[in-house]
Amino acid sequence: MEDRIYDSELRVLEFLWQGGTLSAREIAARAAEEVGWSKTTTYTVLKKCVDKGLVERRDPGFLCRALVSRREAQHQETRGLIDRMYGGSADRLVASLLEGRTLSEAEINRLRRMVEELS
Amino acid sequence: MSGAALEILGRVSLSAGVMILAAAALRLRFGGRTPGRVFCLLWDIILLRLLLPVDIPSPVSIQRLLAGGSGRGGAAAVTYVSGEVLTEGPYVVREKLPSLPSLDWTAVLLLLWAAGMVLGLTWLAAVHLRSRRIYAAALPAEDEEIRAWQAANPLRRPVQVRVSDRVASPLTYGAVYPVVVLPRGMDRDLLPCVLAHEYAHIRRFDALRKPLLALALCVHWFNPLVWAMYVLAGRDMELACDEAAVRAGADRRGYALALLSMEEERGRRPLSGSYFSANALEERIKGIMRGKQTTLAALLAVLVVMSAATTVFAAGAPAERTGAVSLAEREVMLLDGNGQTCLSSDGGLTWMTEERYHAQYGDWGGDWDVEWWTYEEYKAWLDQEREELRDLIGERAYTGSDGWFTWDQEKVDDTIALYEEILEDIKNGGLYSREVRDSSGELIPDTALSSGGTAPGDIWLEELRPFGIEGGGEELTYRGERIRTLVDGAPAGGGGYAIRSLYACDEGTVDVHTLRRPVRNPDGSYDPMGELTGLAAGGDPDFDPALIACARFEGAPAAEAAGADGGGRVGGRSLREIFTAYEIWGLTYGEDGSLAWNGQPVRSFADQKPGGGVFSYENPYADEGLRVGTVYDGGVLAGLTAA
Repeated sequence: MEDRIYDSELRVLEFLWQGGTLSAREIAARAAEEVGWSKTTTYTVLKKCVDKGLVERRDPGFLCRALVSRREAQHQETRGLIDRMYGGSADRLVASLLEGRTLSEAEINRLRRMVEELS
Repeated sequence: MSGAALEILGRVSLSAGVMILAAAALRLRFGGRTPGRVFCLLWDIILLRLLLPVDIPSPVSIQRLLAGGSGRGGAAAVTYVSGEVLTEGPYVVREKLPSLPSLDWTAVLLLLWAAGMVLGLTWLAAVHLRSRRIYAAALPAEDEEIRAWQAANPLRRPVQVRVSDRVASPLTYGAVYPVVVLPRGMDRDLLPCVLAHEYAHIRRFDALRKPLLALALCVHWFNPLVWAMYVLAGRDMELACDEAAVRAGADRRGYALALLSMEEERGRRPLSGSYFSANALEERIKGIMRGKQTTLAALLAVLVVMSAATTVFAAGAPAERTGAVSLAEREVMLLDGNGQTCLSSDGGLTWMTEERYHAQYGDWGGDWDVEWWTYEEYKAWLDQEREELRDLIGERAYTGSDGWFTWDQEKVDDTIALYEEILEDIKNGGLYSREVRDSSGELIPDTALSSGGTAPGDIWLEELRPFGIEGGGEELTYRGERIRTLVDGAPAGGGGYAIRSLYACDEGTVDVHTLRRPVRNPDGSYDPMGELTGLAAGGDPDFDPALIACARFEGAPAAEAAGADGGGRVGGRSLREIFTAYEIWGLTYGEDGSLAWNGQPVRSFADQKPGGGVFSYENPYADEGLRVGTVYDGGVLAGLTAA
């Protein structure tokens, strides 16, 4: 389990830590009520959890059970490392294609100095 | 077709490109002082130009249509004749667009463009769906502070605020149900200005504008200026929202530094692209720190470009062709027969060659609109036509190709077979224009003829009867022999021949012509028609065959002249066609055979050509009126003159 656990996945795990074994449908219902997710969103997140080995899903009934404890999960969850696609949105990809580089520390510092000069 | 599409695309892309250049230049000049929202307006207009091809000519270009050879010319003419006379049937223009034997570069380019567009759209759709999946899994973030802020800044659309550990900076998605996604761990102090910024995105419908920009980019992917516009418009959207945040009371310095910290966060990660390059971020920071004012000069400049751009936008439709009435308006008909294309602009009454048509009405553009039969429509029409054809059995009818005949089962079967052939052709991609005319279709003299009436029995014939002409319609005889051709005319000197009327019937055997004695008019002019003195069989050696050929429509079978009703209709359309050449000089030829010059009735008309030929015409209906002649200047017709 080298993959980082995202907040959304933690949230699904939270349901399972609280409720023990739940069917996918029950999780979707709770997620809709508490988090405002659509069924599709919940199932997508759930599937990620299964793929990452955080959750075990058994047929029939799509019964789900957490495979990690709350402590293990929290230990793993580290700060930083935002998804590579971060914004992920199309316009940012296009823009990065065209403008294509990250700002160097020097450039950012130059801009900081500019802010101070202008203020 | 591909040529036309590429042409539109090129024109749109080019005109928009010019506008983009202008907008970019303005932005460079005034961007530092002029609010981003002003430029956003400019981009919106250009975006419209990019996405709406205002001038949509018909996908069928007539030049192409005509340039492609004659198709099945001869057969087409037959179809036209037999289909038209009796059943007002389909009207063959062209069967197939020419298939190009060699590599068609326009097709290659079109394919390339389409491939690029599909690729771009697919890629954008994939990225969009992926990011939407991530955003959708964001968690609710509404707390007291956010709710209070929302209550103070109400929007008509309900806005959700969520938080995600998978976004690096605040963003908004959803045009109808907007959702603001905040990065987890964002500095709470920034909340008011971040929300003000994102709410500005929502208010300005940027969630709608961005995909439209992306669409324009996909369509115009080959145009580097559109790529530039995509980037610049994106920056101006951000600038506009920064301005909104500052107006909402954000601390300029804090806001600018926050932007830098977020950028720094992003920079730590490998492989991540940077949304704002140093240049763009610098632009934003300067905008935030300095504030902007809509200076009068800048606004004026933007307005000028905007109005110019709008004009270009409106004029994108080819308005330069005002001189020529569009063909669709004039209801031009095409007849493709015997390898030649003829056109009619008066519903088929007169026909002229392409060259003459061009000379008279000017060149046409690409906006000619042919309504083609679809397979289903033609099939439905044919089903109905079968019934009607069966009802015709036993009736007399006339067609140009067959002369007079009586409808029988075989004839009906032949006709239906012909239609079915067309149907099959349409099914295989053949193009047939839809020309369903009502029963008064005048292309070939109609009801009287097809019902075996008294077509050529009229003033003209009455004058000839004393000399041995009997009968009427298809059964015109001279001294008991059926007439093949009857020419009423007279030599007009100089090798020319004046024709008054013509009659022809394929089933006849004898050729007859009139004998006329020329008379001198009181004014000293010379009337070749003079007095009718008799008839002679056996053709006239003086007769100029070219003149008859001219009097008949080329390619239409000779027997069509059976439409003769005296003076006007014989070769009805051909005479008319001849007279159209004089129309610019004020001479008008009526359908009934009447002739007028500048509104005055004309009794006779003679065109004594410098080369020696003469065309003259006696108006059978006018006992008095002008005698009009022609004036030549240096061998060129320069005008008309009346005696």
